[in-house]
Amino acid sequence: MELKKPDLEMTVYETKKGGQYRWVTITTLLLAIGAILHLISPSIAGVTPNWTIAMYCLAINLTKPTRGQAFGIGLVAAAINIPTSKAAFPYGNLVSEPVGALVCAIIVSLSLKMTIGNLNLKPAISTFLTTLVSGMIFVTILKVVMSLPLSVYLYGMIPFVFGVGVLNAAITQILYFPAQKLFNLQGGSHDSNNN
Amino acid sequence: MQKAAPLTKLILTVFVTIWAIMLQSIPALAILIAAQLLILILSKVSAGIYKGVASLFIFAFLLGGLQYVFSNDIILSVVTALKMTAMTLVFAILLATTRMQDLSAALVTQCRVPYEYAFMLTAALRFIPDLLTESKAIQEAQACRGFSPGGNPITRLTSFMAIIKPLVLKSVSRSETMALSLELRGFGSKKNRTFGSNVALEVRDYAMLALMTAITISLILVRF
Amino acid sequence: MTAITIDQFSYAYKNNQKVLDNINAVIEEGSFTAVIGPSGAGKTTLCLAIAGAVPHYYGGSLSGNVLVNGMSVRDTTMPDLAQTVGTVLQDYETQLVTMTVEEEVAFSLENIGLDRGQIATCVKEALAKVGLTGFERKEVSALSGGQRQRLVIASVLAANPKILVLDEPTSALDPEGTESIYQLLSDLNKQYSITIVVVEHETAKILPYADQFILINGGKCLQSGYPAKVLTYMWKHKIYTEAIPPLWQLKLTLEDKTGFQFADWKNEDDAASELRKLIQKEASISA
Repeated sequence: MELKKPDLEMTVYETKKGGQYRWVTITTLLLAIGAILHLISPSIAGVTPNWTIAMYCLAINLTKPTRGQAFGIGLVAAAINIPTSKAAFPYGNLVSEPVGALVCAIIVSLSLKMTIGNLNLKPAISTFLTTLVSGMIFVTILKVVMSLPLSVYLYGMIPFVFGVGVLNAAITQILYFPAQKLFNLQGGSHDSNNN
Repeated sequence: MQKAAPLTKLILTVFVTIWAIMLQSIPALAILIAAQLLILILSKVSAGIYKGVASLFIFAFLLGGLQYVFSNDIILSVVTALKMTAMTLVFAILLATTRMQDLSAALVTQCRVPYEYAFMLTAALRFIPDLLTESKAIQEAQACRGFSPGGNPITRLTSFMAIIKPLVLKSVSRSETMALSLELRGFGSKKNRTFGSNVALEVRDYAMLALMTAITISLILVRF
Repeated sequence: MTAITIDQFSYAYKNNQKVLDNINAVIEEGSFTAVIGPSGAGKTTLCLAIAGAVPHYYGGSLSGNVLVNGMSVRDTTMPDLAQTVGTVLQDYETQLVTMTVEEEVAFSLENIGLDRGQIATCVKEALAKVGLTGFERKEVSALSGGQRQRLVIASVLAANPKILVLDEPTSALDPEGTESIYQLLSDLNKQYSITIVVVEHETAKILPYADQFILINGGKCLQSGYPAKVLTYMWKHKIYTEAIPPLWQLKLTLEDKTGFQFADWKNEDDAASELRKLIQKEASISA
């Protein structure tokens, strides 16, 4: 190699200052995808995945927002469904989704490792629990407000919530790895957790 | 209704929800629904809105039906269906008569929602048509490669994932450009953000708010 | 006056090889400059450096400096630089983030907190400059590719920048769309004396409009100056010759074979009229 001045004189901007709105943009696009999937998704054995929940869980698993931010993400997720799909009971979603997103952010922030072998199962577990919490809140509000009979609630709605939870967990888990690889390649989030 | 401030209409959604929960009789709920339909008609909303309204009715009918199957109580089932319709119809009024930018301005300046969240809402709505086109293109490309939806539920889900995956991955990489462009355009700068829309309340709005409060108080008095 | 001075500028993304290596170039105020070179040469990174995204967004390490209107990009924040330099990124669709045309143009003005009256005036002016008057209430998703590109330019112009940097603005457009965007940029350059910097790998597209080329290859600036000078250099040194416009390949071949010197053709018409004159002259001599 020819003799050149060493690269020592290059100023190093070590910390990535930019990208502070990456959580905003990634959530925006994923929620938009969730909304269109509502329109084109097939149902699996009579149960349709809740794409909105799956997508904000994916966004939260990728960007690891603060709890306050997650709460806001949940509010936005509920609001987007009002104009796009026929949200059956908007105020129910406006309560259930923020709580769900909060649950997801809390599970994601736990230092507890959730792995089988090398497989990180956090996306699936957080999504399953989020769907369960959000779904239960929603159907409970629906039951109380609409004074639905207990039998509808116990045998019609709760099993449905579990079914959706399983589907959502599978979807988020499958999408998480390729998405995370790409996300980290581009510089990723402000703190790069090694999970 | 287009002339009313977005905040007034937001508050209307809260009040209508409360009224729908409080009212228990079929005629009263029917009046509430009729009044809302009248508002829609008087506001001369576009035909597309009525399609959405029709699907609201169908959903409410199904919910009532479900309840009838389990409880065999026809009155209760009708009340449930009507409540459902009354509560969702008001959102159709809000969205049909309010521009999204005005709503977002009202949420941020009057309801104190941090701007990031109002931005996410409007930006997501902006990208929905583009993503829908993209998803159709992917679907067609998959069809060319001999992909066929069908088979058992598991294969159906896996083949549907083949459409979602490229969509999600492209969005992850786009989100980087979008975040950069937001910073270049001064998004989130410390100064107070302004809005191009004027969403201030006027006399008309105060009158409507007073009317809504009066209705609520009289309902409470009647019930207790 | 110089608008942009790139002074011994080197840059490497985080944990990566150098992408730009000791670049020196000067862009004069009011010029129309095209940054050309093969893909992966570092053209986009150079754009990002002028906008301040390098290093403020991407981190990494650098030496030398880029001065924009006398401001060092090292010490100026991106939003501050954006008051002087308007940037249109390559994936311009993703830069459009609002539902309607007028909101898009107002977006950056609202972010810096202008009052409603000022915003309305700026939006009107910016839309007029790009020929989108009357589209205020249209939904962004209903616009064509060319209209979207115009809208992005308008949204950047709203802040009244002195310099406009565009990264491959026409890569997604058809030939007519491309021509009309470059015509628009040329008008903005002449009428409002906005300095234009465009990254373009198809040299033929930009030849009729640019008054300066900067040739980048492998992170190094090989040549800059009049398009004719840069194209001749590429021809003589056999660098990136596939990008030399066919018309110029013809001109340079003819010059090599005949010893003639032709004018700096910007398009086929220039070439035709010069050749016609030449033939008439030859004919009158032999007659």
